[in-house]
Amino acid sequence: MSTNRDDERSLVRAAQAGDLGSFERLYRSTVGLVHALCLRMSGNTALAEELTQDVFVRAWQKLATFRGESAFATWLTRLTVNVVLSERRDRRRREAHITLSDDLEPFAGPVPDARPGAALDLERAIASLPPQARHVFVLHDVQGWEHAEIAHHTGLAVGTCKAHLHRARRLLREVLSS
Amino acid sequence: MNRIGILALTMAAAAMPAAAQQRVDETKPAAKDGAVEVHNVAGSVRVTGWDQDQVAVTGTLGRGTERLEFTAGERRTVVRVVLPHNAHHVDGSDLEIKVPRGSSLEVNTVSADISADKVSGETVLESVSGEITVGGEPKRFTARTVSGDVDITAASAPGQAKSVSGTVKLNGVTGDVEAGSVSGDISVKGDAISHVDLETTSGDIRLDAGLAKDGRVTAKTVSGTVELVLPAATSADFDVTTFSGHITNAFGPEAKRTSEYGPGKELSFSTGTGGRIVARSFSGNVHLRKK
Amino acid sequence: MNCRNVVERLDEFVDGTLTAAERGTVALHLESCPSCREAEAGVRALAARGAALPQAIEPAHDLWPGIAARIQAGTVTQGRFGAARHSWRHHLGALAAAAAALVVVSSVVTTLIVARRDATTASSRAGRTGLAAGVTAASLELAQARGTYEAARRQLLAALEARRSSLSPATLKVLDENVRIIDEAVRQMESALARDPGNQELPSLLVTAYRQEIDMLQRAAGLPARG
Repeated sequence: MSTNRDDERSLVRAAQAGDLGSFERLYRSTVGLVHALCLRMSGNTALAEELTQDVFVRAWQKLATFRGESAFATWLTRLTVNVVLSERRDRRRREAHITLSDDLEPFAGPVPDARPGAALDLERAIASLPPQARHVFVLHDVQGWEHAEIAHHTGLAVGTCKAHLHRARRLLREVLSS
Repeated sequence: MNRIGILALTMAAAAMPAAAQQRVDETKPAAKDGAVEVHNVAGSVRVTGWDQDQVAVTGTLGRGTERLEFTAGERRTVVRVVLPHNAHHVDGSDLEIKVPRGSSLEVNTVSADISADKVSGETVLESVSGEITVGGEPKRFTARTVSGDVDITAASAPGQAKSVSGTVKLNGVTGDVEAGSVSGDISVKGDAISHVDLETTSGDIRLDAGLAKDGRVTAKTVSGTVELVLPAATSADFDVTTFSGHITNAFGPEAKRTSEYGPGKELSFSTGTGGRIVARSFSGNVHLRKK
Repeated sequence: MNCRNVVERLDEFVDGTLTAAERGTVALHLESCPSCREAEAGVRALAARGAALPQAIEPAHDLWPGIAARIQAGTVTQGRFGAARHSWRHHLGALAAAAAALVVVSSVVTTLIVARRDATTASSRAGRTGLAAGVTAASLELAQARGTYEAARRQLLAALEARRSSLSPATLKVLDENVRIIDEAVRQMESALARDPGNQELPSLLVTAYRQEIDMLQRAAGLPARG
């Protein structure tokens, strides 16, 4: 489903005024983008669905702050990255002092599937990356973000981002060539 | 290319596990409104806000402790008592920590007691069996234990205090506060309560307080006793129901039966506009008393 | 510049973020070094594959009902409890959110995911058609809350069981005792409700008790070791 920019603007305005039906249409046109990003950044199908829900609930709450300088999808993408990263920060903070037993390991979920052949291999390989390397790879190589923007969102230094990208690409090439 | 570590983390570590108690006295610079995170399994953690842009840790590390980790990033300071892997018996560590007044604070312990005072940022304190005490005026507080007691004297902060079997005490609270315990009791005191929500399963709820203008009190329990002691001049709508408990009321009307089939009772009356008092119980008794 | 230095700079070379001078040096090395050229091709191919991945992947399930339920519940955020300000129907949202948070802790909860999805779908449907249906809508919602609660409780008790050895006997005793207290409270209220199905207050207290138990068990699942 796609909406042109004018449609999108009027849907956003209606949703900002509290119309849930309009927000549902915005959801329908963007859920694939949000879900793909959640899926790749979390590497976990079940978690990705929860995160996708969190993103849209947050989007509804923060909709007033969307001023239309960028496309709705761009605004939503940034929000998604923040939700995924802060979920992870929260979790890490909680877990920093906690030794969870193995059966509660949250990142042990199944890797994304439902895509054919080579793309699936790459998706699987991405899901197997260490979290920060995965985040940077997804944002840089899949989403096309600059290091400065990634650094801004992740709170990492630009040099650290570059190091994570280097590591991610090295690991991916190893996994994919084996 | 390997320019990792721009955050300039510094680490102070006593490398050997302490054979005996060991004194700690360290200070590091910190942001006025940064985050401070403290982890200590057993012993105590006392955090106090001060007017310096520094975090200072003093106290003693218990016998068997591996080391104190004390790292200061630009926005986040971490203080952690590190225990050796497979430690069977380690003595508690007692930490006194001074933090910039504007810090947000997060403390996690297992059995260590926690107290926080004079910290004005968001304050999150969690313990399993330790006692938690919160004073001062944090922006918002969260205090959670399993069996430890919680004692909040934070004057005007909104927040949440929860325990499973511990007692939750709220003193002088004027903020928007939520308190809950499963089997522990809840007690609330204050001159001008604005909005409290109290909830237990079997614990008793006792509120001895005056209402602020438009103040709201909601108390829910399954089998605990609810006792609300209010000034005689309280101006509020009262709404009390119980399934099989008794209701006593010093403010006026008697409770009515609500159901032909069950023993339900309901009491609803008004002493004036503004406040609202709601009490719900299944089998617990509800008492409305005058001060 | 040796091969190792070049390989370290290949990412930036491919991404075009090297300084002109460094870029020249790397290019010069590549001309004379087949193995580094191969590595360069590998990096380019990988970056191209990454960029070619589909930008959108539809979720396997319709997530909208769950989102709508949480939005309508209004105060529920990020799968946490604490929105006890409103009518008990809002607790359905909190309960669903609790179940959502639970999925985050445990990845083997298909039954729960199904139960939760059913519950949120149905509750948002009930929300849309309005609650004027009175007792019917209330009992429908209570049934959904109960289903969600029971599934979440089962999963969380299993999680607690699995980590008994990492918790202290004193804590376990407190948890077991309080699970028993809430279960007994729930049992009494359920049987009272069976005798007095039209009671307006019991569903609210019942959902509060459900929520307290799930809240407690979630905390138990996240307690630190030795706790």
